[in-house]
Amino acid sequence: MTDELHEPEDLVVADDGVEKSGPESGQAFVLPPALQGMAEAMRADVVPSPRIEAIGERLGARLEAPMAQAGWGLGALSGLLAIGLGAVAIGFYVFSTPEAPSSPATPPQAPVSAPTASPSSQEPDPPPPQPEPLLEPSSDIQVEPRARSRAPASAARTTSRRPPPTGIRPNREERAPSAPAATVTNQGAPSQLMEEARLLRNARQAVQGSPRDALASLAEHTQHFPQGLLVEEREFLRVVALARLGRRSQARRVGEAFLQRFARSGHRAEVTRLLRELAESSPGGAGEQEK
Amino acid sequence: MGTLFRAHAAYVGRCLRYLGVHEASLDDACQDVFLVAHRRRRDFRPGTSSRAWLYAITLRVARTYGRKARRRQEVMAEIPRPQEADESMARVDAREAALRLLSVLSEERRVVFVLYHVEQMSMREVSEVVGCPLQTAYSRLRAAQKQLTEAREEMA
Repeated sequence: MTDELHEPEDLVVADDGVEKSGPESGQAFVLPPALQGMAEAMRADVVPSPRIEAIGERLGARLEAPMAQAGWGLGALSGLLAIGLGAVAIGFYVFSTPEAPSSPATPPQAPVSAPTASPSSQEPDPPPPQPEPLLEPSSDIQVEPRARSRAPASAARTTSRRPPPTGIRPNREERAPSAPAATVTNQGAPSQLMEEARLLRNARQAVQGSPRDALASLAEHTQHFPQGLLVEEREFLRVVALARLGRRSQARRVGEAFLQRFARSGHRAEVTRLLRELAESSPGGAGEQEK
Repeated sequence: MGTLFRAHAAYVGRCLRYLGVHEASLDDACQDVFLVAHRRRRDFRPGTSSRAWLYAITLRVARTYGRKARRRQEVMAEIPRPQEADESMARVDAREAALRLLSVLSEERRVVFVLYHVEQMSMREVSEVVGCPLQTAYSRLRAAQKQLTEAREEMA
């Protein structure tokens, strides 16, 4: 355990030979492109500052308590980060990782500036896992009504009005997973998943009012993401849009295909209902106004 | 504590989310992490990674909330998650798609996957947080990726 403190990333594991080549086996774990988009979207999904501030308020004075005296040289860094968070505290997502985990510049373990000469000799085990009745906390704090309202909706609006993502990022290979970028300022380059989601959001918004536009968005999605992550949602919306347009036989076809393909979809009930309606409204399936 | 909070809270929240804590409980869970950290701050060993320490707590809180959630899972599954006023639908959809995909994983694998690919920890740090040997962490990650890839293909 002791030596780990000094060489966080240099550990080479003989594993089963396949995966390991370098100090940090990042290469071995390059995600397939389909999953990269997902991982990217997840990384971008940091809890926005207003919520964090509200939590901080509820924690109140506890935050002033000192930690066990640590030589954590993180202080300055986290301070900077805090300022950064403050600056964008208007409901903006901060796309970054906390402290560049495997960046050699800031090893998570601040080099032991040894006030505690030999921690390992007295405590051979890693600290955290100690079974203790973990959670009475929520009750031991008077939960104040959430101060959500502080996030000025207007300010937030300006941020969400960013120009819609335009392109689909063609090449994800640039991100070397072994060296996580400290700050992935993602604004300009939405992940594929975000782009997928944007198209479907357009479709969803249009599906009742102008189902034809919805179908156009869906077609665009089909074209760009034939195998996208949100295919299920797309096909669901397609059923709704077609039904809405009165294109019954198509709607029925797509709907039935949907039920077959997405056996566990949360939209099944709705699709089933639509299909029933379609069947009821067109006895014998005749007299449709296709297209 | 304040420093720890400011540096990590937003990411702890993200981590909780992708470990499966329901959006409606997310803020409470995040608060709980820091309450526990506060209570156990004396256990933190100077010189070790404060992040790993904090995330070990995060993991346990996530588990607790996960257990609670599973009891009502069937009910929750299709209830739309609450979203912030400023949160775009695109983000919510992307999140749900990711959560749906992650849900194919066992908790063990999911944790490793999230810590590595979302929180971008080194595998050594991951194994420290999870409390398993490094090799185990590796094999879980491999398995998770394989499983996700397959699930992803199935979905498409």
